[in-house]
Amino acid sequence: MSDYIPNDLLIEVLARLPVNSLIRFKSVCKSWYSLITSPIFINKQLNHSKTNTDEVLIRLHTATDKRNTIYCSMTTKNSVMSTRNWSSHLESNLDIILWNPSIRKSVTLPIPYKPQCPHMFVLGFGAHPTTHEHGWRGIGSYVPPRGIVEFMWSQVFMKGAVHWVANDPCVDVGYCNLVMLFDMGEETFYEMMLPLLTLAEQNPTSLSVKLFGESLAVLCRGQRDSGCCCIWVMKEYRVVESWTKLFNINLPGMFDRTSGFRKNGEVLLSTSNNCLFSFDARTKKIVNTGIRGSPHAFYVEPFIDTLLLGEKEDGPLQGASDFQERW
Amino acid sequence: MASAPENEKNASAPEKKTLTLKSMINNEEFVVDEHVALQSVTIKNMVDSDCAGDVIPVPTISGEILALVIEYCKNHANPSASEDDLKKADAGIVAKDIYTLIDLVLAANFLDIKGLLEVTSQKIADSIKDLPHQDVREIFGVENDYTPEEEAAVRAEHDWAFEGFP
Repeated sequence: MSDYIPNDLLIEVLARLPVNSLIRFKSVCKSWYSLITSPIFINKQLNHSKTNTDEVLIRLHTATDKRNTIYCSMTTKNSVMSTRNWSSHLESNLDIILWNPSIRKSVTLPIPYKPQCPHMFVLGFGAHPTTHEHGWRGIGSYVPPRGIVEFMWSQVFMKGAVHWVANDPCVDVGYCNLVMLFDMGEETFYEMMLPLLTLAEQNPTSLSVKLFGESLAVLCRGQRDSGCCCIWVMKEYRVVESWTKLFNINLPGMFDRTSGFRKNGEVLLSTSNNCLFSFDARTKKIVNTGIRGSPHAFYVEPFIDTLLLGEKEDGPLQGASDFQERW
Repeated sequence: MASAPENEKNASAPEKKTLTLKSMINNEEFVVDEHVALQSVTIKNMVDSDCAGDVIPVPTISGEILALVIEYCKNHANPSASEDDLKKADAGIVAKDIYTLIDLVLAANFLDIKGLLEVTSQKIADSIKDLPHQDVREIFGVENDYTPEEEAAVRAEHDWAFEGFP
């Protein structure tokens, strides 16, 4: 591996590198190749990446056929913002594509049950707490009848579960919204109540879930073009009493919608002329990120630089897996 | 209190104990307060098991590196240092060339000082992340065991990542 430093120390250093460097350093030698493509190392790098990044992935443009989508990521280090860009040409006909922009690799998973109408199902993405396989498996879990989740609604994966805003179809007058979650490890659905009067009775299309720091947040949008948005967080996970109104955004005439949060708590807002602004609710400072997109394309999610999907059973090297045994 | 018996005096204000660390590479000696030196788990284990004499020999670590390690331990043994101060001080300690950093990470590993190991590993990663892989080979003393064909095939897996690199 190295004449100068022992393997465990080398791993300690390499696991702190960005993916871009790691895929180049596979060319250093054969044992570095098998290290960098080994699941144990990929996991270790992921854990470092998770805690150290404030990167977000932003969708900028969507073509009408939805196959050519432009993304960028944004991160800030020592007050300097940097971005990188991708254009994805993902061919899909009702299949699911797992795409890792860091290594520019995608895996297609054909949908096991194709619904007759494309908008009649909801997908929730997450990771099983112990296995790291991707694919399909039928589960016999009980689905709570109260939780109707619409196709285009947002989702958040945290604490090993996928979360959606759901709505109870049995209510005759008005609405009754709740948060539905699916625990990946337990393979069970749960419901969480939303605060009455404020969130539970809003039109569900005005609500969305987002991750705010380590907490689950629900955004409640005011009327279109009103520039208003109200942000609630569940301070203590799965404790319904801990729903707290965090702040209101009230910037009429300028802001179209709240797209997401950055790790530092700033809010990313898109404007009616398709610019993306970063807003600090405490200082009320608004900064133009310089990122531009097309109408209604902005979509912000946390981004983690990872080698996942890059595992190698057999590389272009004959018997590369032999080297793996050293690890 | 001057007339207090010796043992009582020790209990209320224990005498500051020091340890002497000696680099076995260039025989340089450093006298440090015990609580500073005990941030090294390796030294702590020696002291706890009564294996430490008056002078603790430190093999394979030069005086120059040992001085950096002691500086780190002193900073982190100071209870009044703020997190910000420590961050700045750490950044100063690791503002070194790559070969010094490798010696420092080896020392942190040998002496088992977790914080120093982490901050030095991160600095090494930051220093090499934009280097061509050929330079990285040299820095870590790694022999290229690829045939030219194999190397080309590995590179072809992610050709785009090599844009702007030799």
